[in-house]
Amino acid sequence: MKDKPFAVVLSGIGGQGVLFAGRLLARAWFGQGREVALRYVYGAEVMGTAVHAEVVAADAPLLCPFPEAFDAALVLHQAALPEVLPRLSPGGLLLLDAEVEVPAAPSGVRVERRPFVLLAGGGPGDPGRASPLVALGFLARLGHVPLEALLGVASREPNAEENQAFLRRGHALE
Amino acid sequence: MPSQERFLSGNLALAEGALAAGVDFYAGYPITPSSEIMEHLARELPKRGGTFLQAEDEIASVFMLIGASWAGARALTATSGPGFSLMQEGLGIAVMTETPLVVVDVMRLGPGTGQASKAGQGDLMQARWGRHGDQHLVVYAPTSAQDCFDLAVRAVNTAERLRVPVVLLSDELVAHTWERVRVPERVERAERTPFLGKGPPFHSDDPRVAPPMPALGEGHGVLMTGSTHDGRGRRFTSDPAVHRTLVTRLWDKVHLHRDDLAVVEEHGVEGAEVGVVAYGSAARAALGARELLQAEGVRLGVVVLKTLWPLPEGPIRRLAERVRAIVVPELSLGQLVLDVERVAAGRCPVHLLSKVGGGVPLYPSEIAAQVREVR
Repeated sequence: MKDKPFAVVLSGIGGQGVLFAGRLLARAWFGQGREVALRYVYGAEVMGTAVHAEVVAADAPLLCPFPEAFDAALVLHQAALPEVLPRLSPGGLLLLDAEVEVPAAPSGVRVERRPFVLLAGGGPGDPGRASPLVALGFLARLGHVPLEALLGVASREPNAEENQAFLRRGHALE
Repeated sequence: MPSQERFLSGNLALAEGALAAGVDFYAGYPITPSSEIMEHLARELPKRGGTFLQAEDEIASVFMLIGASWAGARALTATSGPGFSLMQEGLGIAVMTETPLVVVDVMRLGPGTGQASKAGQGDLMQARWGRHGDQHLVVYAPTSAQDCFDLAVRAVNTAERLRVPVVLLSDELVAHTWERVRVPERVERAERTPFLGKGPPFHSDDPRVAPPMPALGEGHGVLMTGSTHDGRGRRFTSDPAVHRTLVTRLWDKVHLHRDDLAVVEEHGVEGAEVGVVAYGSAARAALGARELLQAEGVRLGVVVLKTLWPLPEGPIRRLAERVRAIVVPELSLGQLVLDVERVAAGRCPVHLLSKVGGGVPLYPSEIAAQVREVR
């Protein structure tokens, strides 16, 4: 019996590196031989608007790569939250940056808050570039993707050492 | 054939397919959601001895393709809605001058500039009928990144083999979704028939066979015009017989190949109680819906059209003969449904499932719900 596909959305605003982090996660799973689909979702192509990277991993070919609901969501900015909440699966995981306020989490959703933006070095007015990498590191700590797989794909990208440090920082979070 | 497995978006896979097929000329103007094709080829073509040009607009782009193709290049460009509208004039000239080239239209929401980064499927009729006059070209539509690679190769080969422009009609969802792509070491490349100095370059006794094509610079004195012409390229702007002969041959050249141009997948059509006919990203949702419904014991047959023009009518007709109803899911207010209704010709009811705006994909559950309703 194959596990059902696991769908994650990384959400934030343009400029935070959400799409890059989505690609790292997708490549990490792909490198483990899983069937993976990654899709970028954005609005106007300007900095500061909501951006999402939707990633699905499965053990069998994905007939439809467009997830209707997410098993996990990593939200790094308030502006992206309204588009994510209605699509969280019951029993899903909502990983929020510490600054993101959620008025009422959907029932049955587990909410976790961590200072991803702060740990990415974001000061006042800084949206927290690389905060999605810190959040990815934490996702690895929760067991959804091996840290080594993320570090491996990050090693093949520019700024490898810096990005790997952000991933490790998230992984070290309690 | 050995192949390499890569993780690519639809747009990147399409660009890689174009390179594998030997495309060596690109002229274009960037536009969302097609720009990654241009960016990739801007990087790759110069490394391989090819030519990349950023044109001043899409009208110039397509005419540059015509010139390059006549100089012997394998030419491709990519655009989206507004740019595709601008290219229609050049596409008509390419049909009339029998110029092999490929135009990729990554559909977004229109009309006008619409919603630039959001998926739509509203360009289907434009791809087929966007030019004035009686004319025929070929339209392929990918459903996945793998299709983007494979159909890019097929599009280039079809253009070269038939001396005809080919439209590759992708959509934003297919273009921006990354998936596993098997990239073969080599692909088959069709070559246009070279002109050896004898016989007319715009006539063929067998309408299924494209005339041999001269290349500029080879020393042949060839007339080339977008006006009505005879087999040697001489203009005849009022002779009814010359016009009828020309446009009939151009039409037949494509239409008589409709069976071998057809790329179609049929899933569970035998024994189906309800059918779906779909293309592009909507086809992926239809396959997901089939899996959902299988678990409930509902037998859904799905016809996936990867060639949209000439329309493969046989599979649609066969489906209509077997099922109680057909659902046509589209990210538009309904265009393919008009053809399915025509081909089904009353054999069963045909229902449109329309979703348009915001680029939200059609989901398997939505198609499954409609199927349960019409079952």
